[in-house]
Amino acid sequence: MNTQQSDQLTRRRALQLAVASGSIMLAGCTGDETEAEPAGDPDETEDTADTDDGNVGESGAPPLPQVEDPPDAVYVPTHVESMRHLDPVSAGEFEIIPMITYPHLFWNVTGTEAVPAEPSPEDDVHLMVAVRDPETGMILPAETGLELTVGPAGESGSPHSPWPMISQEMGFHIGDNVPLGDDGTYEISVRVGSIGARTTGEFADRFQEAGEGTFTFTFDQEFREEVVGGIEYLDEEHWGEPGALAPTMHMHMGHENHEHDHDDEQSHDDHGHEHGADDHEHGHETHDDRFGTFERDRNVTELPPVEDLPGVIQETAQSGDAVFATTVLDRGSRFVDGDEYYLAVSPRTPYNRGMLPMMTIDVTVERDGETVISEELQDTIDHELGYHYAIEVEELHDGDEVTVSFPSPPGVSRHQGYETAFIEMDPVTVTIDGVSE
Amino acid sequence: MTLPDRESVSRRTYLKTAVAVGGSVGLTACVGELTTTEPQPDGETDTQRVPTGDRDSLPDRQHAWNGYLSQDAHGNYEPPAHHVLRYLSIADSVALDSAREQFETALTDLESAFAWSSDGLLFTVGYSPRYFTQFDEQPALPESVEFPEPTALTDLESPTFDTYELVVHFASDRPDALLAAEEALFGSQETVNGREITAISDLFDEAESDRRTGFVGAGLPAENQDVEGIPSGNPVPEDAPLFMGFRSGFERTQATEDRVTIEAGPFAGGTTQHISKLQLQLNAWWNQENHFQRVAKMFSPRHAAEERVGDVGEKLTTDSGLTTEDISDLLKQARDDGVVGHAQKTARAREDGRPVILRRDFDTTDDDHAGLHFVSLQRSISDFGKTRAAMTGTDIADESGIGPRVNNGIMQYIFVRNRGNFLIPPRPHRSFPTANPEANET
Repeated sequence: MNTQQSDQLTRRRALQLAVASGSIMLAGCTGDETEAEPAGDPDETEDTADTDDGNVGESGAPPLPQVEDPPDAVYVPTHVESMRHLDPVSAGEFEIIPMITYPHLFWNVTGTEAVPAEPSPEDDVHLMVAVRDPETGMILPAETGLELTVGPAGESGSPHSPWPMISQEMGFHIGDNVPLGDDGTYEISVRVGSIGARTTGEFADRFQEAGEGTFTFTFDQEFREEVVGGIEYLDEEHWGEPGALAPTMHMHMGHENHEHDHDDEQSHDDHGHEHGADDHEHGHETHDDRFGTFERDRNVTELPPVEDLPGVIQETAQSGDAVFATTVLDRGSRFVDGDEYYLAVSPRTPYNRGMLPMMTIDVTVERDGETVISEELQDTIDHELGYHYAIEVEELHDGDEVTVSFPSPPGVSRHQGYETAFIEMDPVTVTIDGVSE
Repeated sequence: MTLPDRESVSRRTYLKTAVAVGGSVGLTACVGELTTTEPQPDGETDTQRVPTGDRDSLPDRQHAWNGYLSQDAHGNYEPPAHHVLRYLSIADSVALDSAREQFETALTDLESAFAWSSDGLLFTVGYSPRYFTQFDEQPALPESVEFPEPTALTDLESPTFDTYELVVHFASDRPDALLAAEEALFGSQETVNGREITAISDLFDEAESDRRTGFVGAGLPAENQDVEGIPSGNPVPEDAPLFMGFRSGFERTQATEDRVTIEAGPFAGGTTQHISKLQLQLNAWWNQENHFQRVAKMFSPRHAAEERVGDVGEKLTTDSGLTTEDISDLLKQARDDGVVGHAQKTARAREDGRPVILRRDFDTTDDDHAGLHFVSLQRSISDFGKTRAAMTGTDIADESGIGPRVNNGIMQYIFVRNRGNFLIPPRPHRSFPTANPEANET
């Protein structure tokens, strides 16, 4: 199935967009790329690829080609998404960042299957919110029951419980394709539930209460032209190649740069990814910066680079194309109540260092061929470690084999380019090294 | 809400809307519809054919409905199709002791006017914790009744608490009977079904009241799916008794009336009632989930894999088809399959293999939004709390990749708007009871 359902192209939205699409769709593309065949559904190819006649898909979902047979890894999608960013609003202890765009295909994850969720005839927008801590700028894993109420301004509205989702550009957010109705001003109230993850450091005891905030949005032709016209199609030669779109949402967020007070000099191998040019201006001013495998600057990503993590950093592993940083905090650190070690695993998307919530992660520790620990890690947010999964351990020795396994991959929904990664995840093993005794 | 143009909707929708509209307008529409479309050979209108009742034969338990309901081929009780909840508070000027007889007479009149059955009229009268605060008893109620004020039951909700003093739950397959009863009690109609009914509208404070309506049964949800919360394209199957598309309320997935009945004290023979008003948002349910996912989320992932359910649950007979393993291996399934079903989670609250709550819930299009009035009877409110906690599945979400809402049964699709707790006294004490009726009588 593809995103487009042109056989249903009879509704008002199609008419409205047809006006815009002839020029604007093409303006957003270069040459033949728009003619590309959407992959995987030969039956619809003819209908869907043809933008010249104003085919913008049902309900304003523009024709977005798919990568045929994408790798089981993070890959460069066919286009750079376009969206309208609204001003952040406060909701109790939280800050909400609203983003709205055209309805589009995404994938919902059930177990180890990513099931495509097509935009439906009445979906008018893809509505997204990210939740951050206004004090540190950190994006929070607010998957715990976030609720939107959407309706025309001044009316009661209809509740939605959108999907926790990851995207290369927006990182972790909560979003869904949502029907609105006629053009006009809509009011969206957001209830952010308390954060389910354990909180440590500067986050200890925070985010325990739900917060509510409201924003308004004008749904009109100008909006549709803006977001559909803003789509940038990438050169087809890059579609499906390893790499990711650079994060855009966090560009202006100004993560605080916490000091990197490692107490050791050990260097960390890079984690298997190319480091491109280091001093990028981050944005889409230059074509080359829009996507690729280059290492992102630390202030544009959700999680700190591995070398910035506190503790004794262990070798980095990969599974399902996710990068697993492991670190051990010495006995009696601020993460534990007593004198235990703190074993933290920080899974992140490659390249963009995005967080991966809603995973089940088990660890076993083997010492001298004997399993001494077998536990599930607890998801936790910390101002230095960011979002991570961890346990306290009484004993840890150099040479201990820590096997990290994944009964459930991240249960978050996926935008294009993430739907084949972080699904099949084999266990990884790290040998503990450099832990003081 | 107003009545639609008669020609623009089906008969079922028109009658359902008449119930939702209520009052004399709804009643007139309803009687007119039933009379014009079902002419009787002897000239009697349909409404006159609602069977009358013999109030002396009625059980002490107000909630003893099962024996008066029809049953399907498998012996499952079929709930009445139409429902109205009337939330009421007693007017300040009313003295309970003198009003008690008037209220009881009105209810007795009603029981004579209509047979105690789905063809006639079933109803219960329940009282809130706030009602009982007017008495000086300390504690307010005897210990044999476990009956607190409503609270939020999950972190996901911020409900309005219904603090009306009482609620009357009317149910019937006959919308005309249901509306006529309401009009006689609270409106201007003096006689229904050939009987004179004592009016009681003067007992209540109109400013502090609410009326909620709904329906259940194959066909009704499909006919009434053109509301907010349900996507267009008529996704709700014709055979589905509820908006989410599956049968429920199987005989073995309900508590028995015995199990929900208070056994001791002055309210022995009564029960407690929890009523929550839920909004449903089924856009993603119908548009983004496939049948496999819907079955997995409503029942269990194994139900989906083994195709135990059928389109709307027609493969199920007297229970929801759960195996012992579906319940005992819940966490393992959560971790292996990444999804858990509503039924398998909720079944953890069973005792001796049976639920401890008796559902009398129904769908609604109140406020022009898809919803569910979840009416549940149980011996103590904590039985409901325990069942709801099992359904919420916080423990499962904490120990797996399942979210508090996502992949967690149907938690993504229901939104709690109101909660209220009520005590349904046994019939002899149903009219403005004191907090300890027998003690007061002696």
